[in-house]
Amino acid sequence: MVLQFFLSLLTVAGIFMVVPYKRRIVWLWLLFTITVCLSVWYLYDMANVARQIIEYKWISYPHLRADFIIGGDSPILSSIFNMIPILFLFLWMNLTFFPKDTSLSASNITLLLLATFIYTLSSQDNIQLMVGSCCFSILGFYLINDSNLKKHFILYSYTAEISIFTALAVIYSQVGNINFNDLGKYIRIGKHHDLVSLLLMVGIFIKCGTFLFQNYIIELNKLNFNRMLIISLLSSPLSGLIIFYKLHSVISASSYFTSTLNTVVVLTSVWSLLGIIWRDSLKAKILYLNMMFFAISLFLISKQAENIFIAIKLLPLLTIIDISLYPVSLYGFTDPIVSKNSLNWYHHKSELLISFVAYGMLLISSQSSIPFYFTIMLAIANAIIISGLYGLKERPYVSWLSKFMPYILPLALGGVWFVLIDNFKFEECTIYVFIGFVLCSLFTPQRFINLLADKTDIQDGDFFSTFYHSFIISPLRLLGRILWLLVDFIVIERSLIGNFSDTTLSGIGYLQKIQSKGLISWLCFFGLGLLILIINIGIFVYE
Amino acid sequence: MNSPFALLSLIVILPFLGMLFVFTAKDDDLSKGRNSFNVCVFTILANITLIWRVFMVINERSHKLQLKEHFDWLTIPDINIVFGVDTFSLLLILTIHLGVLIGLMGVWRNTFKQKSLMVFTLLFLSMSTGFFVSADIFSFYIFFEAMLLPVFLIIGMFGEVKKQDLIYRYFLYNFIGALLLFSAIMLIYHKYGNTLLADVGRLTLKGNLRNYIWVAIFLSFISRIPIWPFHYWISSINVSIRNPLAFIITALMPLTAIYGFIRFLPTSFSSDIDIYLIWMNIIGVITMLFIALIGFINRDAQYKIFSYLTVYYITYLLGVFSNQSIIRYNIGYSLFGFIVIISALEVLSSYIYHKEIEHGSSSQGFLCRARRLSLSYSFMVIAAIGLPFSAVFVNNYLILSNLLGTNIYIGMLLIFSVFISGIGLLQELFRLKQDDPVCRLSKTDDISLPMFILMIFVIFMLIMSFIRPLWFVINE
Repeated sequence: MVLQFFLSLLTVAGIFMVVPYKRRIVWLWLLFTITVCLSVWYLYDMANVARQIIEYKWISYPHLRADFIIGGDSPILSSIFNMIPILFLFLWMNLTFFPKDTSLSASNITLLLLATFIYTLSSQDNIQLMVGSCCFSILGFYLINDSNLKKHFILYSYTAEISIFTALAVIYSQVGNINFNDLGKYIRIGKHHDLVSLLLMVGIFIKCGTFLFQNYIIELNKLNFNRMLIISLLSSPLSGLIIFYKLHSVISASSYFTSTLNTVVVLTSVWSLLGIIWRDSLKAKILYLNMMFFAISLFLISKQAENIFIAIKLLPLLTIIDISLYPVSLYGFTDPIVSKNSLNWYHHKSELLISFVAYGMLLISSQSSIPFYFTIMLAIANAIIISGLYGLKERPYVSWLSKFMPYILPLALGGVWFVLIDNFKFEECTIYVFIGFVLCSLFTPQRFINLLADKTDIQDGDFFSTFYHSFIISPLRLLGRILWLLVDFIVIERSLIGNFSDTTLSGIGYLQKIQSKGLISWLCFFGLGLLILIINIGIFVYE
Repeated sequence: MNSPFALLSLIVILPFLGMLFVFTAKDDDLSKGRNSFNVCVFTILANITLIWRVFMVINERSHKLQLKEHFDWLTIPDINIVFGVDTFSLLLILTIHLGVLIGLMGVWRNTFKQKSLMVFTLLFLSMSTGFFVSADIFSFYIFFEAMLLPVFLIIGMFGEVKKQDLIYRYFLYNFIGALLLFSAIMLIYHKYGNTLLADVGRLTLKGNLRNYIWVAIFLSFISRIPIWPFHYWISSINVSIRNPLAFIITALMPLTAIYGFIRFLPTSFSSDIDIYLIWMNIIGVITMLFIALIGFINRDAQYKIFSYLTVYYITYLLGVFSNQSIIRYNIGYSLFGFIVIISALEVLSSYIYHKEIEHGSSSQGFLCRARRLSLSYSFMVIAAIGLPFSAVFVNNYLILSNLLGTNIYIGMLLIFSVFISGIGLLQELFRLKQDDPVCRLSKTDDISLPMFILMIFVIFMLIMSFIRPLWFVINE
């Protein structure tokens, strides 16, 4: 059933890549896709499958065997089906609110990303994991329609892939097997644990867009909202979590793992909270919120690898929060400036209510998993965004499309709640956090935050790019120039080859003198004979 | 297994016969070299079909030379010519044919001495095919030398190399290398008679004779690889060549050196040469590093392609020196993807360069306007940097793992060089994708439909080689 679902995703994406876009087909397609997903989901539930793995023998070199595997144990199968609400939400959003954004392309990529998620999560060897990871990057790259952003995205992704590739190559060189079952063997007898762990951590941090590597994700605020959201939730960051889950045992084998990861998580959370406060762009705020979520997910997985399934369960809720924070029907393609645009909450009470409910559900779902301080940070982050968005300014009621928001999103919320939230637990402190969140959302004094909106250095400043250019790119360029001048030009051309040429010319000149008329030729000839004699005597004495 | 119908001789002779047909092809102001071009393409396609047939006849899992053909040549001295082939050498023969075929697409509209170019190309193909099917030391040497002539003529006439002394040096270094190989082969023949290539690695040589022979062989092959200190003149030649076919043919020369090392390398190294192997690794990695860094800072696309070429060739060379037979096939599969990618990249880069000259403007932003070119070029760069779209990905993983296992520091520097050379290619890709209103190139300057179809076919081959390296082999 998993294989059928996987293939159906590929098939639908493939068919609609070639079908020309016409509005009447769009709704048919959405209906068809949802029907396929729900049918398979229903069948899975009916079958009550505990484990399902489909294997296809792929590479069979004498020293390397890699299989194409789809499926896994029950948690993996559940995670796959947990992603269906996200698929539904994105398809609905693409086709409803971004009809001019060649939304078929964005929807196709969404389907392919879900297929890639299945493929990568099912991996049981290095090759499949790396291929899946690269596919996430390539699909995200394809979704970006700005050349500068594409450049930064592929550079960061390539660095992450090389880092992970190198680490897995070291592991393979030590154990001679790519299967994850042999990771234990590598931990017991392999070398360079710290190096491998560091390389993998660097790769995962880049993919998840943590502190120091967040630029290429935050820059996505220049894209349309749907594309931005798909990349920030379903592309590289998600692949980072999967890689962390699969290679958790190897990464945690290093003695520096805990301190490094905790430091990065704390810095990322704090930086994302600061970003939510000082950035005036709504899209940037949402990206910082997602960045905080992925940092918290990394922390969860560091405690126990299986916590990834908790993070994946929370992902649909985060998607709904993001969509509710950005009134898609109103803003469409634009990037609203929060300090200058604030919505009348009365006219958008549906969206506001949805935001509150979605956050409440996130709070309840995560109350036993996420540490309390992270819960507070998430609450503050959400509250700041909501309070900045829904001010008391009067704005005219706009857009008939917002009529759909109150119906679709609550339905989605209900569906997610019904399916995903099991073991309903309700802790006392959760109520206090939620009340605090609602109060902050309604009454946070925005005027202090809006002061930062006028500071262009803070809004447009790109500190990390400046850092990378000054301390990494420029020294590399300088080194390249020095090496070219020193080694290539001076050492080879001027010294070795120059000397060789001069010596050859001298030798030829000497031989020409021997051929010439006069006493000089006899002297040169005698000199040559004497030289040969001396060399022979020297060899004789030496031997 | 002996070859029925002398298949190996046939694949060596066919390009030579094609060359004779090109000589006789009608070529005047009206046809402008079109007839000779068509004959050349037809010959290469026919040879590829024959190579495909040979793949189906041999046992691809066997490491021994198959389809052997013996020719009695001289009685005194007793020298026989032996041809034989295994999967590795046959794959390389197919690779060079595909590379040249792709290069021909780049000179399709070239009318300057088209007939001469086709003649030398087919001669090079014939000699290089003979080189790869050689199973004894004499035939190996003959074809090793013989392929120099067409390469020299192609570079001299079509390479647009401005400095003559560069061409002389190119020939001189290769010629000295060939002389050294000749002296080594003569010594081996003097001691053991006409030796098969498969037995060279098992020869028990001692003392100064052993040292001289292996040093001579080493220098003769290393002079064809852009490794320090031989890299300078190779780089000067390669970056000057603007004819894509000439570049591709010149870029295939290091491949012959790597093949030579594989065939001649002893089956086991004695411990006293370990120190030299370490130095070999160090020099190789240092060369890779600074070529990669120079490619990173250089704005010329041709140099970036050359630095990528150098880095990968040295990677393969170091993989060969790890002396593990299991890595050999990975090198072969990887080389297949690598040569095809380089050929396609060079053709596309050359196309862009000539459009720049034609319009007298920068090509920045050209890919924003030319969709077919953008798709082809983007795919080739992404495949080149090692993302999983070709056989390069899995096989390089195995080769680099092997090198990391040998020495972790050398391996890390090597991967860093690979990374920097990849960044260089990405830089060029994004320069072409960054829209510039000043750019005068428009969508009418896009690549033609036949060239686009060829690129799609190349993309298909690369993806299939990722799924299964010998996907085109249908066993009987």
